Amino acid sequence: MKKRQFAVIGLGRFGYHVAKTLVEKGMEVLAIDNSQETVQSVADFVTIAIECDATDEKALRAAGIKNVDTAVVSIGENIESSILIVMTLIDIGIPEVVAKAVSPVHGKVLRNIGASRVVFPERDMAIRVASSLVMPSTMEELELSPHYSIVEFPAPEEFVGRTLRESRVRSVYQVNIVAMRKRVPFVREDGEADFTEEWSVPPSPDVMIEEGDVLVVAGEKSRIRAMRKEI
Amino acid sequence: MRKQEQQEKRTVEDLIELGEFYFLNGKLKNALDVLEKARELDPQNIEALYTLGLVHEAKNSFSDARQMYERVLKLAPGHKAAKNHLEKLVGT
Repeated sequence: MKKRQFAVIGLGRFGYHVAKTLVEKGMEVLAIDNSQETVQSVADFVTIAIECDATDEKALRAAGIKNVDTAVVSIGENIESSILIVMTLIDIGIPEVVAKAVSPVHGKVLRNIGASRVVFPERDMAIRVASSLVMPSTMEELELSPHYSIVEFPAPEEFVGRTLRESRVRSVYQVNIVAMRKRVPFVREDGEADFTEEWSVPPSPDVMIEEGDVLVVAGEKSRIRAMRKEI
Repeated sequence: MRKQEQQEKRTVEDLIELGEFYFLNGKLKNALDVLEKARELDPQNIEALYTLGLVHEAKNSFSDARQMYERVLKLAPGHKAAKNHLEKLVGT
């Protein structure tokens, strides 16, 4: 199967990590930035790293942008450039253009000119951090819609020693345990203890809940909140 | 080494071994108890502190785990496992 090809334009902190993660996941990445130093910082791990002005359509075409399936535009500070580049990519015919926005107005413009997806990394991370501070026992929360979410939290003490079925989470709170994470201890080659993490997705209803296990629950936010208040 | 010191050292080693045994068998509360005793006897014992970090992390007590790993790294800056766990906890 042909590898999916990506372009990451703008290699600041966000773009750098997008490019790095895509490469780690086995994708081909064309990385573009107008700073030679920044391009050098990714040259070792991306497929191709090119220094050019991405607002220049000719330069983008020369870099081979036409071959990519998805382009990620990670230029936030210079809104004008960000918009111009997204428009150019759409004109060239890139099937999917994902763009980073730094403000609601920026996001709206990107959407209106046809970006396939607009992301607000700072806003999204701020919401996640604030949520985790308000409910410290919540390890991760993924909002599926205004009414539904997926929440990860340590198994409450009263569940320890029961099976998932016996915890009756589904019947009492009408939410579903969709995954479970266990830490499995082992002895490393150097003789020291350590642990690894094992996921069960979905977990068997007969699996025993042990101290330290982490549950991932999906359902209506109000029901998840009600459950977390009680246990 | 004086006889009492030797005996204390043996006790600490025994306690750590027992703590690791409990940890490896998922008995986190027991592991915590004996490792804390080992730490009382020898507050700078790297193995006790590191294993306590693991137990706290396995119990999802991340702040306590972080403290233990930080102590390990203060005493043994090259402790790779403690460094890896701390980096994961702090998010760096």
